[in-house]
Amino acid sequence: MMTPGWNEHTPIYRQLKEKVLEMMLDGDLKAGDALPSVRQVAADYQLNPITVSKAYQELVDDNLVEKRRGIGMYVTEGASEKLLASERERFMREEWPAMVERIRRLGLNLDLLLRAAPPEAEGNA
Amino acid sequence: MNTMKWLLRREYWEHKGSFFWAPAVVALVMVAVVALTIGYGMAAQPMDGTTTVVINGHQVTHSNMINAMGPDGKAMMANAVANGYIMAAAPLFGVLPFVVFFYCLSALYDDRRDRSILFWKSLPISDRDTVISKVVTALVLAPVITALLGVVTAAVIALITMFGAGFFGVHIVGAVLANKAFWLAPFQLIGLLPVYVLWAVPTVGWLLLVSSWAKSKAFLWAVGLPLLLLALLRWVSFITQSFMNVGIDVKWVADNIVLRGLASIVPGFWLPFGQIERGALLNAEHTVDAGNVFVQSWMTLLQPTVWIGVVVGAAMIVGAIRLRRWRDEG
Amino acid sequence: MSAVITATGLSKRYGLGKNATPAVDNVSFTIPAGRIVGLIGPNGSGKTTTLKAALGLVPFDGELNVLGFDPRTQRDALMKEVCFIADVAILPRWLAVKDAVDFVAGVHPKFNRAKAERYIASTKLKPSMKVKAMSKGMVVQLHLALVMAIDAKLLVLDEPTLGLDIIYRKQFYQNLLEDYFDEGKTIIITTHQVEEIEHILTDLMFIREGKIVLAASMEEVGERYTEVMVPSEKFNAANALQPIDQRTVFGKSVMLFDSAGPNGATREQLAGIGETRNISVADLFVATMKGSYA
Repeated sequence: MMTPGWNEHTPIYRQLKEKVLEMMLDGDLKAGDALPSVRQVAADYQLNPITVSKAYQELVDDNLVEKRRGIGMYVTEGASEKLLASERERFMREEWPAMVERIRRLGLNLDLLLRAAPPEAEGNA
Repeated sequence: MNTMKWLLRREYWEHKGSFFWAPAVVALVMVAVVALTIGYGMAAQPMDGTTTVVINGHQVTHSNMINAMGPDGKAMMANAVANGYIMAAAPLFGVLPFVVFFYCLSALYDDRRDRSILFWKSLPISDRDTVISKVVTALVLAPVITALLGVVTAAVIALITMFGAGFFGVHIVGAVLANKAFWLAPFQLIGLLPVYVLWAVPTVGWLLLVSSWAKSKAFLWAVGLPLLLLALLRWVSFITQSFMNVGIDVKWVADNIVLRGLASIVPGFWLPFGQIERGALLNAEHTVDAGNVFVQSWMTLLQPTVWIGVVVGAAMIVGAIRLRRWRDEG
Repeated sequence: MSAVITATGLSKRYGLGKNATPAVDNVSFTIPAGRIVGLIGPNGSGKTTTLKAALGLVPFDGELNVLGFDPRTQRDALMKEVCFIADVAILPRWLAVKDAVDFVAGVHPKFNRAKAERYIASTKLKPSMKVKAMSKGMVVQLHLALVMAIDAKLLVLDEPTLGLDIIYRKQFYQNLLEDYFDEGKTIIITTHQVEEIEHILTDLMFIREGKIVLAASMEEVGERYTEVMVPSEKFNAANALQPIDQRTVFGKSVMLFDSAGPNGATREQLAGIGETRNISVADLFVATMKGSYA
């Protein structure tokens, strides 16, 4: 059982949802994989089941996860692609412009930055 | 849900040591002593008529037995054994009142002290059932266990001594086993249980009441309070006697309230207390007759004092139930 | 589902006449079903008395409805649907594991023997072991095994992990969530270790000096209360928004705002004066208990 440090900036259910999203992006959760039950997650992370349900519900609303009656929650087909696409879009829309602004302000050269960047980690798409 | 059965079992689990092992150990010691005595007698004496053996309280020598024991003598001896063997259980019944006294005092007190009452209260057991299970344990369960052990012990001792007598040429086992008094005795013993229960209610009630009420030193309250009352009455009586020439019958209080309240759990309490004449208990041979004891004991139930005691005792038990329900523990 | 507990004008006084101190002072609250409620307060605040009243252990004034029963007059029926653990390690010392299971099976209509035995099998408890031979943690395991196998609609835990070391404590809540809790059950927990159960709770009730100082769901708490790290240049502006509490951390001011209070500040306003974040239950407790919150 683990109690990862939850931060105080966002509601817990959103942080939990984000954890699931990370797992999907990293390929730990693939299409057709089952999510652990609400009860199991609540017990393992010492959260109340309502919080976990809320996180799962948002995943369902985002069409990343589907509820199969009587069996549990499963990652939908094409979920990781969908997620990757929406994460990319969010990066381009929200994070990248701010980053570009900062790079320019610091007078850094984009080419040099790329060459200085750490090598790609294994398994990234 | 047979809750009462489980409550009684619980009492037995908790107090197995005093209800079973205490009398059992006494019984084993008694049997061992008798067996060793007889065995020593048998081993050490050369069958020359100078050794004595104790059978049923009578000292009998070897020569006596062979010479003086005619068929009538043997019949008399067999009759004595059949009627009186059960008295060997007496020491166990001497242990019983102490066991019951301390059991009642701790029954509603111990689990308040160690707070385990909160565990019992978290289960669907009514306080009424709880207290009643303790009453039943004190009045019925404990005496019955003692009685069963007593009967077995008495029978074993009787058989050992008859075996010893047989070793000296006096064979009475057959006569004893054919005597109906031998088989009747255990039933008469158990048959006295209702008499015991009715007489013992006041003490059980008082002790349970103190047990449910006292915050500490339950024994001191249970025994000290009545004695204090007596002392107080004596003093008051002295004053009123000196100044107004009228006294308080302290003895009456001592007997009917204090004694009934503390000692009526002693088996046979009703015999001296119920003012039974010694003569009524004896038979033609001037020995205690089991049948007479049985009848006279039951006759004491005709006296109103028993029933007043039952009512008072029951009221105290109700008080204990009330306290158990509403007291704020922990 | 109807409310599990409804209290109206609940009061309990100890002592008589003018010197009577109210342990619980005219308190009213409602606890709906399917919640995990944390009843939090300092020693002597009345939290234990409130629970005892709800469990029919003490007489009280006012009205209490627990699962449809009045704890004063219908306690026997109530106890078939409620269970509680009053304190750690109050099982009687002479009780053996096997006897404990047999006894509860014999007296409780809603006891699932197989469930209890399954749980016990996963511990180091042996059937013939007596409580007096067990460590505190093992006694709690036995008590929990019995309690979890009872299908009670309400479970009250009064300082259940007091004095236990961390492994047993974590296991306690893990088991509770994994094997016991569902939407038909309600759990009320009181504890001093607020951080431990902070995320397990769905609802919060703060009690102080016999009065309920806060009763809200965790969601509401998240929306209402905001902590702001205020840099020194924004200090006065922040003060103008009427924080309900303030403390200093590493020379910086940390202020607490209640959006439901009078002149409540919204998140947008607060974002303008510093870094905002959610407050932990422990910090909220300290802030409200300090007395600066009416």
